[in-house]
Amino acid sequence: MNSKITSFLSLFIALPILITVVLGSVFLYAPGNTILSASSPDIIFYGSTTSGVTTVLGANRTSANITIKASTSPFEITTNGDFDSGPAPWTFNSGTDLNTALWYPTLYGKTGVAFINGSITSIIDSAQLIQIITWPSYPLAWASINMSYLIYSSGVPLFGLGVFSIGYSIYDMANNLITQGTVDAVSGNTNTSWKIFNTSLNTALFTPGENYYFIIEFTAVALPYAYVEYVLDYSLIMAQPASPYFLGPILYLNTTILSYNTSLILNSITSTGNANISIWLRNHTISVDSSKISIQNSVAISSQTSELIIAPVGLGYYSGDIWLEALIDPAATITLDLTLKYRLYDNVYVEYPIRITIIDPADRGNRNYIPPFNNPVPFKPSNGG
Amino acid sequence: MRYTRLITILAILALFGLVGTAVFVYLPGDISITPVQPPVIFDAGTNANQTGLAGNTITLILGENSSSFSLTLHPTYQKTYFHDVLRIVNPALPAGDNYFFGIKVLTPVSGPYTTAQMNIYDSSNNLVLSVDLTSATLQGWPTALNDNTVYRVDFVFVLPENVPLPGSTTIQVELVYSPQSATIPP
Repeated sequence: MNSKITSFLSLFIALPILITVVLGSVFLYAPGNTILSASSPDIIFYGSTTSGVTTVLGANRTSANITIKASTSPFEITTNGDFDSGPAPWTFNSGTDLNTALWYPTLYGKTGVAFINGSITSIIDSAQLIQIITWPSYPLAWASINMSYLIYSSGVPLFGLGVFSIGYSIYDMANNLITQGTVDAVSGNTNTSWKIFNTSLNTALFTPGENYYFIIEFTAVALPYAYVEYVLDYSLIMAQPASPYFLGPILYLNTTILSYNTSLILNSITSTGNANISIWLRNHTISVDSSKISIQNSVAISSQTSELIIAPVGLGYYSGDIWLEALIDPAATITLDLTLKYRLYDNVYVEYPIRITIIDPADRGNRNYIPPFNNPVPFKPSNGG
Repeated sequence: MRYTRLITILAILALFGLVGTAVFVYLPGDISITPVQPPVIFDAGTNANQTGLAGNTITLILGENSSSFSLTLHPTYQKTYFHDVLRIVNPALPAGDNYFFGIKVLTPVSGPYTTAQMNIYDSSNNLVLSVDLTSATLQGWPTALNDNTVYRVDFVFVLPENVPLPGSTTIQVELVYSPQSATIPP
């Protein structure tokens, strides 16, 4: 009887052990090899040439440490208002007789000028140079229009009528007039002497961050006949920020083989003092911007841009760049850690680190333009405005 | 009389010795080997064999019965993430077979890569297992791989930019799986 009980207990204990041993003895091994064959980076960084920007790139141009000096120096709201870098982005709205607009690398002793002329046979005629400006999205101490110009006219008969004027106007994008004024009006025959015009703008008339049409209007009244030239050395809208400010491209990107979807991600903010900052990507080839990383009062409101496609471009150009606009408290220092993320499809993602430090005081230096063209270049016709 | 007894004892001992060397006992046993299809297989992710960085191809070669894989990746400087290049599948058939698995890193990758990960996600994009490919160990055992399950496999590498571009290197792993979890795989 005892031996039966002993046998039963032995079986009771041994069976689970046996089952465990049987299950535990089955292991399957499925092998896999992953071969890593590193490739050179297809997107690489180049340092910006923007004044006030200092860039230290990594050994293989896949990281960047950027220092930006914000400034309270006056800056230009217009783009290429001094015509030193060609006709763009100005466009020309031709008149009947005032039907020629050319950009000259040098003319009448000036470098980089806009030249509008015509033989006036239709008594009165007008033409416009136009560009779209973006009003700054932060408080300004002041804003002004500054112009250097000459009006040359000839052929006006002794008792004939000849009045030639330049005016300015600013319209919003719904074509509502914001402000306008006369720069100069001359009569009779004149010589090629340069003049200066300055006027202040009421900053309260403008909505921060909105786009406007900035129009330079040339008007000629001649009876019975006259020839006239309007030449602009610069036609600027200048402004001074109420606090240290920076706007411009801070880093260039280039891809040499394939197109990629790129985006920026803000990882962290370290700040002494308040700052309002926007950062975005720009593709110059197709003139498209990504959405913006937005920081208000040193707090991230939006911490990622939308994706922007950048593509290979010709030698001497960049596929895209990173833009930054910042308005900071005096003596403030802001450090941002970002990631440039790019992908081909939904398969390979690459991330590069970027550190941006924005500081005051300012030392933006002077711009030093080199005219890009050696011959006259026609202005692009306007689509209206 | 005394010698007779001694001789008898020696004779018995000798007999035992002879018997011990001459007797063999054979207990029969059958081992039936019936190969079956591998119950867990590898499969191509959506981005396998697609164009990768700088025109290089993400090449995935599966073994004859999808029980092995060879994957070629082309990371670059900084952080490179390869998404959905490989899958681990426990098919719906045969039904009801649940497994536990781990990843055994046989040949890890070393410098200049500072990070090398094999990240395994379920269909809801939850991280199931992150395998450190720089460490030659069995990792993640026992992670559930239930019947009718597909796991996505991503890879992450970090290559510091202050080094020359490294040459080709191979990471060898094994997917180890078993119907039980109590015993650690040998």
